[in-house]
Amino acid sequence: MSSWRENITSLPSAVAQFVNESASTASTYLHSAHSGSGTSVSEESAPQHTDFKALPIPASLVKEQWRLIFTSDANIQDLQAAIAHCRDLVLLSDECSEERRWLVRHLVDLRYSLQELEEAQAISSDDVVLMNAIKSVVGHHFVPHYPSARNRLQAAAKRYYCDHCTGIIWRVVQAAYICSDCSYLVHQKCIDSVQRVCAHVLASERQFPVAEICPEIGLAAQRYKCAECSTLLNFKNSWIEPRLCDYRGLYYCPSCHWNDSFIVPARIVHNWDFTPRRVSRTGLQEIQLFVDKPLIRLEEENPKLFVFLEKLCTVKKLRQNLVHMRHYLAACKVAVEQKLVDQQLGRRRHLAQSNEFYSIGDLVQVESGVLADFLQGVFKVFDVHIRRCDMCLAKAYICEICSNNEVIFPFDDGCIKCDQCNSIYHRVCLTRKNMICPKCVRIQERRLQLDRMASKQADKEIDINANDASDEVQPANTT
Amino acid sequence: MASRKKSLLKVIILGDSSVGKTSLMNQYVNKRFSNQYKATIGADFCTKEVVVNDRVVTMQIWDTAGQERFQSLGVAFYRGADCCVLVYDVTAPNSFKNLDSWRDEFLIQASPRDPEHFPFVVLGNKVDLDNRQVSTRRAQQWCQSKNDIPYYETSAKEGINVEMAFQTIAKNALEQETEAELINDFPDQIRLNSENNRPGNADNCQC
Repeated sequence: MSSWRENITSLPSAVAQFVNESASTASTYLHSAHSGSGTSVSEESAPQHTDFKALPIPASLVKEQWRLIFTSDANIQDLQAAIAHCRDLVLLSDECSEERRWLVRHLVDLRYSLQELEEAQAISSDDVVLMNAIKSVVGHHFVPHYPSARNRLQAAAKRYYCDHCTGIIWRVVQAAYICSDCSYLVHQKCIDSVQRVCAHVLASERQFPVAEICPEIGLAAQRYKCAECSTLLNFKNSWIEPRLCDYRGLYYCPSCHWNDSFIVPARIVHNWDFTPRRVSRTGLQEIQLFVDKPLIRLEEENPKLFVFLEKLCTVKKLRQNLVHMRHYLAACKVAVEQKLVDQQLGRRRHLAQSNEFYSIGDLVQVESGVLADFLQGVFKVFDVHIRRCDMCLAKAYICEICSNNEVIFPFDDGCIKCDQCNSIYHRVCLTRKNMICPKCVRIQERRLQLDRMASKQADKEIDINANDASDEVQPANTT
Repeated sequence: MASRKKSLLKVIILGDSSVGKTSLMNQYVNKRFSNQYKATIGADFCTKEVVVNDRVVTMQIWDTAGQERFQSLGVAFYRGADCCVLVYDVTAPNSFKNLDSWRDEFLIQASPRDPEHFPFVVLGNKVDLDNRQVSTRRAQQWCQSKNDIPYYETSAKEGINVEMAFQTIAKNALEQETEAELINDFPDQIRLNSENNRPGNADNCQC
């Protein structure tokens, strides 16, 4: 790695020029001649504070920046001092303020950089290792990016573009880094001027995908600037035309918004609309991070969907059954030993943990019908185990209304569960009893009885007290 | 006579959470006690061979979760029980009050043939502790009112009375089983041959 990077610098100047030229022509492919100016703008504008830039240091902290911000050539002492100072500032800042958020992010970055440096020093003799170390910039954790050996041929055909300067990354001669969290891809030369805060940081701060459909605030409110890099936008020049991100509802410049199309979570939740919309780069990276996370309480957000969509009801019912089954499997030694739940569900364990939460990926699969089939398969496997396992059978239910010896389970079709006491009955039997759960009646009776006993006891005590009181009062009256 | 008696006794231990059901079972089966509290999940059983009335029988002791009534698993294993052990904590009056509901629920779920005479045994556990709240007299009164249930005061920690209590449990379970057999069980060979030969349907003629 180090050797061929050296080679780049020692390349004949003609070749270097060619590379530079081709890089700039590549960038015009996206928007003409903006990449170069973009870099310089970012360097100049870094200290400036605007409302919509995610990265820059808050205005109130500008005077501290010389103690906080370092380039990659900082040494360990500098970083340690900066960490200490940053930590003090975090404690001084107001809770939930913009300053605190910036400081916390920055503190994490600083600590990462420190760790990198320390690790690098520990093995400082080996330059290659130093090159391989993770670089952290504005929340990204960059690792060197190589096309994998398997698809090297395809990779050669595929073009990679730098997320920062939008220029093409010439694999053979240019080193590139990729963020291990959000897949932000960047030239090695651009790495120190990266502006976009890692989508992973944003996603974890936001916790949920944006819930409103395209919450647009308008260009005026954005002061005609790109929400990410603050480039001035106008409609006259196509290379600085404003592009709307359907996910964030903000306008971006063409270098931050590549007209990528992707499904938008809010549109699925509210409209059951799976049409891909145009989203900004940061929006795209953020949605992709949310795709597999079970965060959406669909029924709470949009209860009507369950009325209109039969497939959603099927999935809900199946998941409810799996939740019941999981209780059995979690309490069964054999199933735990066989790792039955893990084996069947793996990373999608949330599907059997409750039937409330859906990930975006789940919803896409509900629409395509894949999820129902998948859950049906899991249901069958679990069912086979439970009906064959002695311990699971021992924990079945017996309908106390008809009291025959047939065992029933909460996930059986003809059975109904009392929401209060968790008992299971045949649906027919409970209907015969006017849907009044006999166990709940008993519990109620017992409680009444206890209350009556308690009140009797209290009455007695009051009587005794009253007697005592009258005893005391009487002599007073006689005197 | 002895050959056709089944030699497996099913015993169910019930009671509020943390009264010492698991500890009693462990003390009896493994002669071990741990001070650490670990809630039982679902239900599990241990087996132990005991000699009762010169007969070797296997006791299958089902230890249950105290929060049983409120958890999401069923209790089909109550069916076919030969004896039910009700445990309370002598330092916790509530666990004593709840014996009633444990008994009722058991009888409903297990639905034994003769609920009035189903063998229960009551154990007042943790007598080694100083802060006793439920008096022996009160417990005995309750037991008498429920058809003279045998009552023992035990300590799973010190092993007091545990052996004796379980001996009684085994004995009562066996008695129940014998009675049931007298009323209901045909010799095994016949039962294997045909399902129609149900016990007690002598006058249930085919025509």
